[in-house]
Amino acid sequence: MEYKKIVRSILSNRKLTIAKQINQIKLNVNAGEYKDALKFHPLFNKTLKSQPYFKNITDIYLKEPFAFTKEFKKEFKWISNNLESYYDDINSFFELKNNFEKHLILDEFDKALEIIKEVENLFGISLWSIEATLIIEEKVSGSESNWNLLTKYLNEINNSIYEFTINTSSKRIESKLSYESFLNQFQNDINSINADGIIEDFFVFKNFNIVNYDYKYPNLESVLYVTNIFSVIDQYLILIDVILYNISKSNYHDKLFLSFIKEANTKIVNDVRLVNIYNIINDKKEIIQTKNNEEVFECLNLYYSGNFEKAIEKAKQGILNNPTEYEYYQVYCKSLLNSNFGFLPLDSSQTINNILNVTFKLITFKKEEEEEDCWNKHLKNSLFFMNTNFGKQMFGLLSEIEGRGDKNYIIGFLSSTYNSQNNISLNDKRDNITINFNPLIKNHCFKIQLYKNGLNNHFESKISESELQTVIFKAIRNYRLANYNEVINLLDGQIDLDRNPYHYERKIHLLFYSFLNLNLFKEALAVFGKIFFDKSIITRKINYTELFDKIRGSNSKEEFANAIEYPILFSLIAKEYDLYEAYDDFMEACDIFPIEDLDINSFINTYSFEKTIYYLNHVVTIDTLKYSTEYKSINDVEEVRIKILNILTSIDSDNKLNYEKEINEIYRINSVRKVLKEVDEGRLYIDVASLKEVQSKKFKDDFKRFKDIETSASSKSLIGFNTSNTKNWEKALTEKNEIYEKYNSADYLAFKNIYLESRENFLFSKEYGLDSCLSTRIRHGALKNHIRSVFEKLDLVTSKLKDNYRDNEKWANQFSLMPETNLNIQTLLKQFSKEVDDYTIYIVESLIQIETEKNFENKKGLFQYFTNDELLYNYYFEHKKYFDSIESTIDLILNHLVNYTLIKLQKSILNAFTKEIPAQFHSIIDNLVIKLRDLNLPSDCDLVPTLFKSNTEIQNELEYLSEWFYLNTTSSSSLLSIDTIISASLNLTNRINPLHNLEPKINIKANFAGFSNLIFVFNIMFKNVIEHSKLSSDKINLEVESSIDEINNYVLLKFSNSLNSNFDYSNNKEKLEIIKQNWNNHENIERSNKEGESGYDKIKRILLYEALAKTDKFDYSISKKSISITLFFPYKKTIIEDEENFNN
Amino acid sequence: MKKILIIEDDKIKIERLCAFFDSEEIHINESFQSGLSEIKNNRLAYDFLILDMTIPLWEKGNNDLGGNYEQFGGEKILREMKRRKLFLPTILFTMFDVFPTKEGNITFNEVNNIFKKEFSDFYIGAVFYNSNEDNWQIEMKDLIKQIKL
Repeated sequence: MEYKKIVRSILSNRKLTIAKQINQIKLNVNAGEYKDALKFHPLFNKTLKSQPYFKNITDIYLKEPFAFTKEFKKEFKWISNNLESYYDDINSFFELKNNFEKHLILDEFDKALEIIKEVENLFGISLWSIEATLIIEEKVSGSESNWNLLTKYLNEINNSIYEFTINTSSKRIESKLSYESFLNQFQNDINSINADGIIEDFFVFKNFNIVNYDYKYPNLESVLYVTNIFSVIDQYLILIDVILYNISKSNYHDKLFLSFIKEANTKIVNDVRLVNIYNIINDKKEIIQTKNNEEVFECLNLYYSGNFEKAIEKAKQGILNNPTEYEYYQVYCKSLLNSNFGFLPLDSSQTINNILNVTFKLITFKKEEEEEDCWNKHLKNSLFFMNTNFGKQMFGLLSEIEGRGDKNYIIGFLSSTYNSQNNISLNDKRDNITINFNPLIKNHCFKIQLYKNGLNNHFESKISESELQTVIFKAIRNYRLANYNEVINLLDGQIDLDRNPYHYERKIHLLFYSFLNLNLFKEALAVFGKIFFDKSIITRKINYTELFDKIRGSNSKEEFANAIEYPILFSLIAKEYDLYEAYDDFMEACDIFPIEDLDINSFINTYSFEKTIYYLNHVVTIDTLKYSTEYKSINDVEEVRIKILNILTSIDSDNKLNYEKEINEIYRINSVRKVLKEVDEGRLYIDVASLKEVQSKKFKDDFKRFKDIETSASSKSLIGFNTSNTKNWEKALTEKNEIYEKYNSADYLAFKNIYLESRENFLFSKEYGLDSCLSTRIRHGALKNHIRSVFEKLDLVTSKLKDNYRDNEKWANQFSLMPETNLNIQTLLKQFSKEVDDYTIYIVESLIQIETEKNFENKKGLFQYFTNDELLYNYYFEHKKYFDSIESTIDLILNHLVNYTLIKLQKSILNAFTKEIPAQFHSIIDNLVIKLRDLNLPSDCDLVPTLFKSNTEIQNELEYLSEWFYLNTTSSSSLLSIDTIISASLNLTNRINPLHNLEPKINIKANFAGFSNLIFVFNIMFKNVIEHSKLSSDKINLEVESSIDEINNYVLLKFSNSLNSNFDYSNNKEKLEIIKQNWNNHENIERSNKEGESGYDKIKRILLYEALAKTDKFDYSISKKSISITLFFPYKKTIIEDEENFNN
Repeated sequence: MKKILIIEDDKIKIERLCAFFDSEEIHINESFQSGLSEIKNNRLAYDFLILDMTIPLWEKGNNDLGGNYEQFGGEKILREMKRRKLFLPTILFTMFDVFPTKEGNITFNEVNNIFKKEFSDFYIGAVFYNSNEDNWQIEMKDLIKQIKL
């Protein structure tokens, strides 16, 4: 005997305590030898059985579960052996438990409470008794009392496993907490406790075992292990649930369970489940019959032979005599329906009538709001009774309605008080079933069950007195035998079935799956359409995805392509291109082309009103239409969708508001797109007209002087001092400057003076100059963010904390199990972030700069406006004849500068943005890819593909950015509503800051119009929120609100957002105060060209010169937790009113 | 001289392809829609198609704000070719050795095998483009040899 050696060896180790010795036995001895091994020392069993029950709540402690063996057999044997000594107690407990449940369902709460007291008196406090007490508290005094009692328990029991379980019991039975809410709360609770697999398995199984859950230990050895800590009562209850769970899944452990079940069944006669389990797992051709069999079979035989009226009476009697047998409830309701009766309540408890009523409604399959309600009510009822046999039977019905012969269905009939005919359904997994149940097949209900399951059977007379029931039984049998054509023959023309919702539901799902199994897709689609658009019937048995998958894989779509149900079905499961394929197949099959030419009346006549509405609303959407090659842009597609929505509005006035809402949303998005396009196209804008006006005035005297000199010079040569000539003063001391004599002519120099001043103005005027525009619209964050956003949204770059780049969390998570690789990747990505940022800064600070011979510290700036005497003199010489007025002279100079910017500069900028800059990014990306490849990253890592993606995206982004540099000389700024401009600005801000997502509350109480270039103002405002609030975007509570101050003629736009209370904002406050004080001082507006400031000088400049919307007022308020900035716009009272206002 | 249709939006890849096919007549479309229209209208004029996987839906300037990027636009073009029976020998040309999807990553070889099975009527194979190496040119030549011109 191997175990003897093991135990002797354990005992010989004197250092081990008794508990540790038991641990070693549990781990090292075979499960079948536990009993013998534990007899080796009297203290072993004494320790194990020291306290089977906890007398009072304060006595509760966690009994020792000993080591976790991870083996189901060991854990099962360990706990089942331990229970052997308590079978008599358990049997007595079950007698009380059964009575408790009976009193509960009869609303006899006092009696139920007495029983709980008796149970606690005999067997102490258990999870069962605590939940039972909470149930009575909830039923008698309501949820508040339930919570109070829960609080009392939680205060007294200081153990988290008990606390979690009791807390969940309290919620599960709470009358007002719906099934869905309980499910969500339970899910959250499980997610937040961070329990390991063993404990989590236990919590889910003990508290919510009806859900399908992916247990870490699929056979539930984990649950059995934890169960050792509880009282014997709880141990037994959980053990039987674990056995039921396992045998509902497979017959793998049947033999292991058999000896325990057989033995327990002789003693625990009050737990009827032991009989049910024995009957299906024994291979001895044995069946143990329950005492309830005769009465239940009598009722069922009446029902299955079509004697519904008698079945109603029998079921009624059954419910009154044995109210915890749910089969009676089902027969009662089904018989009522077969007799075409409405619901008839019983002279019984409120709980019974409530359950009956919900069951009745559930199986009428009516598609009303009520149906969903009764489904949820039944779920809730089942949840309330989850730990009773009755509740398990109720869950079984839900599985049956959904056509799932799953664990809940099996556990349901194994929890009944009689030998259910439904056991026959297990015959495909257990060969012994039909033999074991042979003594019962004389019952008509068994005969029907055998017949339905396609097994051989003999009816002495009719299958059923009811023809409808007979047809359905035949159809079910043929379906089970895969005679699908026969199912169709039986059901397709049987319109009598359609009149009874209970039969119709069965007919339609049998037909659907028969067509599906025969690959008759057109017919299956027709049934789908019938169900989907049927307003009265609901079926939960049909899974449309199966039809969808088969159709998708079909190579002969032409057979069903003209069925409108085809794209409608696809719209339920697929979207975008997958749906487009179905849409296009259908349109082509119907020869409708294009969709806008649809003859709506004929379409409705062909396909019905409901289907037409659904099709146009849910299939012909922007996401579908965009794949049609008929449309060349998103705008084309939106136009078509608006036409479709207009058709829908005209034919379906009930939903007019929804269609109008979608149309408005399309218009809004379209406006935002237009604003952004306009902004991008007009980003580089010089107000040449204003410049001409300013310069004509400014250079009036200079021009007069130039003309005077020119006149004098025509009679005698006049020269001046040309500052350009004397660059080398030492040389100038010794050499004569003959070559440049013509450049010294006074008239040329007078012109040169005008030219240089004019150019300076063109380039650097704070009001209208190019540099201001570059600064406010391009350099100020926009360009840098656009470039960085490409890498940010792909998680390739991180931000800086002080001087160091942060770790890249996305890739750190992916490589959390490979710390060394992760370290290398982080180092490389930080370097990558630096290279991207350095180069981007170089673009902004060095390339997007203006250079002239006066200002060439940079030399790399793309905006090069160098000139010299040679070029300028030639220009002067060629054009001097046209310099007849200051206006024409300025006109010529500015046109020359504009043309130069438009043609020559545009070309070199385009070249930089489409060749040189992408090449540099390409090289940065390529270098990183090479280094990453050296790390031999695992094949499922998508870091390198993401870098490739960034390579294409940065090229596209740069090409898009190159268009910003097209110089506009006429204002293309449209007048738009302020909310459209704000929407556009938000869209842009969020797009270029992918790590932030601003979702402000926008409250435009007073809408007003503004020029589209106000977008640059709002961009700066939103950028400030992101950069200065020191909060992550989910914590930024941003609000934008407008109002009117009619007295002072202002429209106010207030931006408010929360601040990080841990941060000191006194510097910001000081700056804002200075901005407020200097708001009307425009002298320092040149600061607007400096980068790195908060941008209020730029805002001032844009409001003043571009948006023409600056007023004398600016305000702010700042507290520890929030900040608000108010911009004041001029308010112009309208001189035209709409009719309503006018009449008022 | 062969006539080749290229559906590709990556400028660098386009440059490399232009250099590679410099003695051939090539036509480039940079979007799903323009490429598909070209296949629908002038398929017979071409000897074969070089197809990128990730492409924008419409030509530049015609897309929605997000850019309407189709991650598997190339596959959708193949599906349209199969559905409409617009058979034109096609070589997938991609720089992705792994394609991230919601269900997990698919490798270049897996994609190639799936496409060979799904689009066996006209799909020739895939070429992996690596900007640091010119192996793709050899692979491209090998695949072109398989096309019955």
